[in-house]
Amino acid sequence: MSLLIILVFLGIALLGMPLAFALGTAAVAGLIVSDIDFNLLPIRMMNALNAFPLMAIPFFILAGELMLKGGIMERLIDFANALVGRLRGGLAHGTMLAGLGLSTVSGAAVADASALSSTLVPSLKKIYGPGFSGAIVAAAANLGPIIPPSGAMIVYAFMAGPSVSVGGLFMAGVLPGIILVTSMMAMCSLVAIRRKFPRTGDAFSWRKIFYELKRSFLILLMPVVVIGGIVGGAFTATEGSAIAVVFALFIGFFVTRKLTLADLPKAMVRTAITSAVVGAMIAFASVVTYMLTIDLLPIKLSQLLQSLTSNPLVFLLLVAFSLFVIGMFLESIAAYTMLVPLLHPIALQYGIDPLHFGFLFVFNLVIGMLTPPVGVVLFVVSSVAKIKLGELVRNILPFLALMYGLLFMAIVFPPLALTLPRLLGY
Amino acid sequence: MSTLLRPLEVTLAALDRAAQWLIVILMTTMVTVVSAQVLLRYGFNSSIGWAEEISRLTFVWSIFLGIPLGIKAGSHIGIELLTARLPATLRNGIASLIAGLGAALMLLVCYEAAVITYTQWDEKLASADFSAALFVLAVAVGSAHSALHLIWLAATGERKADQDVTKVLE
Repeated sequence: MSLLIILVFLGIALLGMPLAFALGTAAVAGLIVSDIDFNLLPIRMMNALNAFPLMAIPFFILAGELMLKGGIMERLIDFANALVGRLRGGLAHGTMLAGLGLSTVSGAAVADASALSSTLVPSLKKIYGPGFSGAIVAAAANLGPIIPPSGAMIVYAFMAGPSVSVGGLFMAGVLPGIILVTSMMAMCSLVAIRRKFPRTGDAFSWRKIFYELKRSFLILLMPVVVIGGIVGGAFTATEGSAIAVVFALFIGFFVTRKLTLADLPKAMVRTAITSAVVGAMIAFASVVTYMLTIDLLPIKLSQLLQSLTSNPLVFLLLVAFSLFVIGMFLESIAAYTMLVPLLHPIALQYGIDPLHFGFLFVFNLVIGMLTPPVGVVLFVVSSVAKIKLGELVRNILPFLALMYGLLFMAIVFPPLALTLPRLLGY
Repeated sequence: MSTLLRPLEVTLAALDRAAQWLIVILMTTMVTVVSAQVLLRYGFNSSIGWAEEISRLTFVWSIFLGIPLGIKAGSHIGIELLTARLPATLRNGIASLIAGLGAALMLLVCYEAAVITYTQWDEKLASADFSAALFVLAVAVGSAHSALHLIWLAATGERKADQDVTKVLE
């Protein structure tokens, strides 16, 4: 039955059916051959979504939407440029820091890619040309799901079950995220020196930095309150995400004063649609996962993998390679909903730390969002910034190499991801 | 456009508008209830007994109302690497067939959810005097609305990728 479900899913997904509905159709095929009542469909779909932790997804998306509408990008960019604008390749550094700042209030690479492309690419293009400009923005946007909050990590933790805490997984991303942004800035410097990009920013001034810090202070305070509250146990991830929405409303209405009441309904409907795309996949995948489980596929897969290797490192490398290939073709949410319930329990059997495996899984698929041919962040940057995809792909390759290098380091050196969660008691 | 499709178009426009305003109400409720719970806990050492169950209910409804709007907006993610290389006639034929198959799936889900809603209607939520079947009713309503959008796509072949569906809120 498992083989039939997988074949039906792949067949109709390749014919262009949205992945959520392809999962649903595959589940129906499984129900027919195993003679199980169709009423399993709505029951499992509803139960899959009837979960308080999942509510953090729309809340963080809505908070991000409201922050962007409230004009935070402009302040983050000004602050980033005051810090690093004078360096060679200063605007590229500023974009990386703006991406880092944005990733602390938004948990999605696609939304960040769209926001960064529309605001920064026109200025970047004038200095660096279209290809490198697009690559900088795409790489900076990919920090979104690595630095907390992270929609991908919320979905992972939910699909993995009680062995993974959202707060712990959030913290696992912090150190690698900082290393990544620092390495990417170093790479920007190298490229800037090699290609002789001019210095463009204003002269470095502590006064300007303090002025911009004052303007951005409340925006930068939001992740401290929200993520700090979640990690410190003051509230759950869902409650923290609702606080983020209230915080974003406060900033938009009273600090930047760019948000209007008329903006709210649109932001809410857009949020509901984005969440529904994820929700539909989780709902239908829950039926498929149930069918695969009663067919004992997870056990068979576990036995197969353990017959191949008993070494956790080899297992991690096998998973990383599989996710590299899958990430090239499949959208990441689909991969979380289908693969986490299968692979996470096997990782535990290998004695791998659940937070370590969770971080590697998320990071791997996040890099997949930049990997052609199906790199959703590349598509967004290419379409919003009007940059040819081929040119973008050529320029993104060094950033991809850096990310895969960091992934490999995180595989062989678990403290890279685990030090901060351990220090905080996870 | 065929006269047969005109009533479907009018129905979908009305349903979309209703779904969007309902989503606004549900989202506002979700944010208010969950953030008020935190405020009450720390500010007044108190809590709302029904907060979690009602916020889960509003979340489930917002997702199932969002799914058909996602179909209309072309937001649901699919793999188009293969079909994009096919001749236009074949590509459109396959798209209609796939939309028809999706409609059949959603009608099946809608029917099963409606049956469960009917049989469970008298069961109450643990914390509020509402029917527990309201959770499954969301599945039935969202699936029916989705099926209508997919029937529209199958019949017209109209594809609205990345369409801004929030215009009706203006």
